[in-house]
Amino acid sequence: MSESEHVQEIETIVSKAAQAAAVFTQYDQAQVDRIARAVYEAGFNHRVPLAKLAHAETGLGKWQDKVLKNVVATQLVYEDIKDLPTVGIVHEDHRAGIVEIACPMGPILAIIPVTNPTSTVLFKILIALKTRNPIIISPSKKARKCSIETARLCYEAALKEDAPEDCVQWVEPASREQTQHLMCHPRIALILATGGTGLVHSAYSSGTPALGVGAGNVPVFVERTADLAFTVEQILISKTFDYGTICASEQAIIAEQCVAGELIAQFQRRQGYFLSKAEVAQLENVAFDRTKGLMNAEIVGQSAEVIAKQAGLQVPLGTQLLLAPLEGVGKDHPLSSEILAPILAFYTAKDFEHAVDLCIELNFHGGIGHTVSIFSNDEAKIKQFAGLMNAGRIVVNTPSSQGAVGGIFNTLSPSLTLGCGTGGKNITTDNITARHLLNIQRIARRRMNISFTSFDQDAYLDETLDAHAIETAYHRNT
Amino acid sequence: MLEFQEKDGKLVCVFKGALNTEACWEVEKELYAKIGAGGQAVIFDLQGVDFVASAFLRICLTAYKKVGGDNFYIVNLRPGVKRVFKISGFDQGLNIVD
Repeated sequence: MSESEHVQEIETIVSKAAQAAAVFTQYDQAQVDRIARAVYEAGFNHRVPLAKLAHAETGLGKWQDKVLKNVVATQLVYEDIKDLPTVGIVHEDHRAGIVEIACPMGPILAIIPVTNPTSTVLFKILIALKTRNPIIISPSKKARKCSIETARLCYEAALKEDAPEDCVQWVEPASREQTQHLMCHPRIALILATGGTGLVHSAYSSGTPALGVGAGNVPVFVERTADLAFTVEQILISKTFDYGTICASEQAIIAEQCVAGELIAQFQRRQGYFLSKAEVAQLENVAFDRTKGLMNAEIVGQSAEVIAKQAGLQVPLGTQLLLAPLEGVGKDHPLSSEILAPILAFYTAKDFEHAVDLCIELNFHGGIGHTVSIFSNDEAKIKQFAGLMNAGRIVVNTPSSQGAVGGIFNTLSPSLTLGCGTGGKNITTDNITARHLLNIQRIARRRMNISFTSFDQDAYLDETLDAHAIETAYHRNT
Repeated sequence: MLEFQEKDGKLVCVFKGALNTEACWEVEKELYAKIGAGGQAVIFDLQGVDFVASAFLRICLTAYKKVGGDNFYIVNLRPGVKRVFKISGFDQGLNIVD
């Protein structure tokens, strides 16, 4: 397709989305809820073939774990939002005189990552249609087929419940310029940008409102009161899940010295392999691209054994995790960076303060605002630790991947788009869900502020009266 | 769902009810046959319409092209339906009259 044909295609798609948005404004809650239910069922019922399709097309992760991602994106997300009022009056406070009305935003452009190419599509379509927003799916080039097939399934299900035509569309921009063109289009209401920092930056720079994500570099603090066998089991559940492709997966273990020995033994009992110094260097060459300063895309979502083989390492059969003892954090220690594979950096800390210092360094080394993890049974230490981190999610005694995504190991809103706050150059630290896709309008009825109206406002003109004097008079109850 | 009237030499198409996709399929053929035939000005009266699907927006566009821009009018839109034309941008090209 030529450049001008691409531009014309984009104009047509956006125009259809605008029409769908207009038609959607007429739908009531019952109609919307029937559509949401239909999309959830269609996605859930196809969770296995879609997961297999994603695995076959991308070669990343494990299809069985992708099934669970699809379950989270459909069943758990649906359970979370099914009773959420998203049409018309959603809240009334008669005393305050405020009525809140939920309105759709308009056409949403949804960027889909290669790591979760079907689950993210399911998730975004479900929350978009629940809030009467048409959605345009922009798949990753490396996962085009499975993402489009997922979108097609959802769209057909929605149409059967009389959803507006073109409420779900997909587009295949062939170049960054075309993606940019779409992002900047004046009729796109919102960009849901789940992807790398470059893409998220483009979304926020486009002039269109955006909800993006950030990179993770999750430190896991194993505090001295942690149950160590339990800790290792939870970390394994998370870090081997889909071979480590979730951005909220653990990246580094920081163990207090007094428990480090036993923790290492627990990992070794469960097919965790600790690398020697020389082996760490071998692994660095394969896992990290020093010219780009990023993890090597070739090892993303590959098993520990496959990666070990690529690095020329002899590891026991059945090895699930490669653990690299490190002394520092930063570009001289490449494995201290985010690596979406079953590789973990391992640090031994003298004490609580040293451990927290290391966690802060890791947190700030490419993971600001995302997620941190702690295993501990000391409430005071947990709160102290949390207060010193910069993370939207501080998961406690749970697997980090599933914990951050929410809905399984805690009561966070299940989501496949995790905000990282301003540190991560996002606008929120929330787990993005249907609530974020509404424009809430408020009727504000006359309710006089008696303190203000009964106060002698000439007093404000008297510059000798300070805040204390004014406050005293303002709050007189006579 | 659709009635035809003659008024001052114009063909008035009076629509009623919810113009969802199915309803649009049902009226399309007869509508296009009628508005193509006489060469008259055409008015779509939407007083009785409480819902329009994308299919109806397409019908308006087709009618506009068939009849000619200066001879096609849409009148008596209820606020909810008028908003659909506004949000979709269809109010820009079509002659919408209160």
